[in-house]
Amino acid sequence: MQNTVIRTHDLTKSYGDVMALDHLTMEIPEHSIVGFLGPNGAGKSTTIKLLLGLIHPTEGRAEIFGKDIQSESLEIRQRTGYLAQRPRFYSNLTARETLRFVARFFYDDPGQIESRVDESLKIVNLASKADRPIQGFSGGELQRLGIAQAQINHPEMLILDEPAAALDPMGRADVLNIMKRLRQVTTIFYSTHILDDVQRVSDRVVILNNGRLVTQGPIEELLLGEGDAVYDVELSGQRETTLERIQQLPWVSRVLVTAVNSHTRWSIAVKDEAHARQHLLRVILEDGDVQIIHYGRKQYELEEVFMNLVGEGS
Amino acid sequence: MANITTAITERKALSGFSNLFARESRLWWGTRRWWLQALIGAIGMNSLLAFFFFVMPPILQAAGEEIDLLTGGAQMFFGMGFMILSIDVIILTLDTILGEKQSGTAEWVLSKPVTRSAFVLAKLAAHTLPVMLLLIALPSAVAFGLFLLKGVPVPDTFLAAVGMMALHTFFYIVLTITGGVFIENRNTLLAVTLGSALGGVLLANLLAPFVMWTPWPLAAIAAGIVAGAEEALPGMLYLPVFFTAFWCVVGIIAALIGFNRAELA
Repeated sequence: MQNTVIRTHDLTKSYGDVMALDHLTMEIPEHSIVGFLGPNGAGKSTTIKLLLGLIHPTEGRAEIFGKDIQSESLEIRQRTGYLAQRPRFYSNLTARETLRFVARFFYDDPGQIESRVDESLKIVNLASKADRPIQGFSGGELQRLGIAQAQINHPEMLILDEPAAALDPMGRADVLNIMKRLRQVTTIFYSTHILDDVQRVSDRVVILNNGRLVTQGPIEELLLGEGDAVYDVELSGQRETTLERIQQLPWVSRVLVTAVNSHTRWSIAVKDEAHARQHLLRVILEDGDVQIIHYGRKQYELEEVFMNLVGEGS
Repeated sequence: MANITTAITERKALSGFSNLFARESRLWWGTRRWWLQALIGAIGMNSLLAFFFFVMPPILQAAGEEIDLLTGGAQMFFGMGFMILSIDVIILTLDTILGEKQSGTAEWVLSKPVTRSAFVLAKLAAHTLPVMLLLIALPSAVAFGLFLLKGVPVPDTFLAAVGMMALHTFFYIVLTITGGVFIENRNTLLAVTLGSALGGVLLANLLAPFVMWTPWPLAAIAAGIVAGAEEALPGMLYLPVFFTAFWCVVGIIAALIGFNRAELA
């Protein structure tokens, strides 16, 4: 059983009458990559800043590694790495000096500091630019430096606020690859607007809207959609009798028929998924004239799910 | 985690202090700032004194006027020194906290295992030490040398006056750093701190009953005690010393409390 790394209970932050985060209760298991989603102003950055002790909650509580975010923030930050939405570093320092400065918060031994700096530069492919002042760095390079400094202490958890925002496709791919490499050793909790990236690298998602939790859970569960399970079948050949037989099955709730090029797609919604798994394909294949091109449980795109969920909440 | 030497050798309450202090100190000793400030201190603060000692006497003697080198020298050095130093340290420390809050580097640093108290105190200590060395001790030693060179006997109270100048300067470092904790606008912070440094003398007249509770009379007192004119000074001579020290302590405590409560949004 996985341990819980982040646990919030009714975590709330308000600024006067404005509710930035409204009683957020969520749990994040360890060794997962969690996409933290929501439209602008949903409360993602507020949550991240609360977790790191940069701002203080109005109500509720939260724990990271079982430690309270307010009274034990120092211990949490000792074991955490953070990349801000718009990373800001001391512009007169080089990348190496920046990493050395950060490493000194975690390590005493100069040899260990230098080795962590060198390793981190390599991980983000900045070794060749290590001794250049960072004021000349591009947005992508700064973002990579941000990831390097965030993981310099081998954190048990990385919190990344929009790590791929404002990056070109190459930069985004770099950042995602780095995240994939780091997932083997750490839990990654990151906010983003780029749903395609979330679908590619995340295990779980947490969705916020207007400061409130909309949903949380494993991404594969979310992509199955809500309500009846749907099976997609693409086929050609003699089909009418087969279709009638399927529509009469007691565990089938509806069938949507659409034309796809020269063949047909049936989207079959089922009330009893166990039955469907066992019998649906057999029922279709009873008719020898039917040729199946594709058969499978319908997977929604994250964007579709997100728009449905956030649209409902707005 | 096992291979991490949890780095914090200092007490938990000051976690991150030594690293921050080293970083902040490099802004002085790792750049040209240290020698520029040393020049401002050694030459800038003593230029008027040197002029008064070595250029003015023949002119005044030719005009048949008498000159009191000790009184005039004390007024030149301390009068000028208090003013230059307060303005200089305000400019030097203006962005120390406020700039980091506005640029976002404070948020970045405080996401590391650093206490907010360490953040404030490291900045205070890292700026105070070079100021005391380069802008108080060095120019005072040069001034002392000029007095000796001119053959003006320097009284023991010179050291006390230098101490007052150090305290007055420290007050403005604390005021600017503390102001940076509470004030979010650079121009407002500049107006408050420079207003106190430059307008204090004017306010002293308006707030006459309370002026001894402020640092404003310190410049006159420092020059007066060196010139041996204590009797011409207001009573309770050391009251402003006590109160300036008191306000410094209050300012540091306020900065620590204020920054610990601050929201780095």
